Amino acid sequence: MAQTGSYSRAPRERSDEDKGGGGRRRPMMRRKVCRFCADKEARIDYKDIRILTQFVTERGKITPSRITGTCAGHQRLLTVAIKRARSVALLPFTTVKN
Amino acid sequence: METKPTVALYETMFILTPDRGGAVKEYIERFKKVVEEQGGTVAHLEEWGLKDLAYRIGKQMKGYYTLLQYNSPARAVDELERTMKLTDGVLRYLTVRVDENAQAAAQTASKKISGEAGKNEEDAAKAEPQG
Repeated sequence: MAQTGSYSRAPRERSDEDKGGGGRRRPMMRRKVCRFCADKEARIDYKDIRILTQFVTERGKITPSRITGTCAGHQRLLTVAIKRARSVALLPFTTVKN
Repeated sequence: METKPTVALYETMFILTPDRGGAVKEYIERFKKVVEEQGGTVAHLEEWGLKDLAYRIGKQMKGYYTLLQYNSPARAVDELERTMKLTDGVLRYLTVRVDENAQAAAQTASKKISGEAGKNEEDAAKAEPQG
């Protein structure tokens, strides 16, 4: 199978907060409970940046649920809320400026 | 034969340029009127006031945030958004349909799929994804 021409892949940027993402043989020992499943009263709301900022990295990226322990359903709601908050400038899209 | 339009709870957040912050009452009155003209009722109003923006919008770094909740048929949303779009002082707006059951449904569905038995909470909360 000849490859017609090469494509260069830009080296993947390692941001400082990558904690073991990309590591190969790391058994998932985390048993963290989803915060929103545990606390039934907690609401995910795009207006509530106090909660939202806890799920965003220093650079402004959304923290993977692998790290936060959030369950799939709530992670999806979180993502929607964060993106909404970004659109009304309650959260930044990125904190890196140049 | 007339079908009754479905009335739902909507919430619109809008940001005014900081120099128009003083006239916010007029903006609110205008928007309220738009809602009422379309058959809606204002449910709740929050003025968050001047806040720092997370990023520069229209060369401004601060904006006057206001939140308006209203029960109305869907056409009020269209009308209100159209009005805001034409209004000079409005930097941004975001309209969301407030649905108490949306979060509960999303979560129970995901639980079923991921097969996690034992937990069967009904998390009722706001916010349904907007298009």
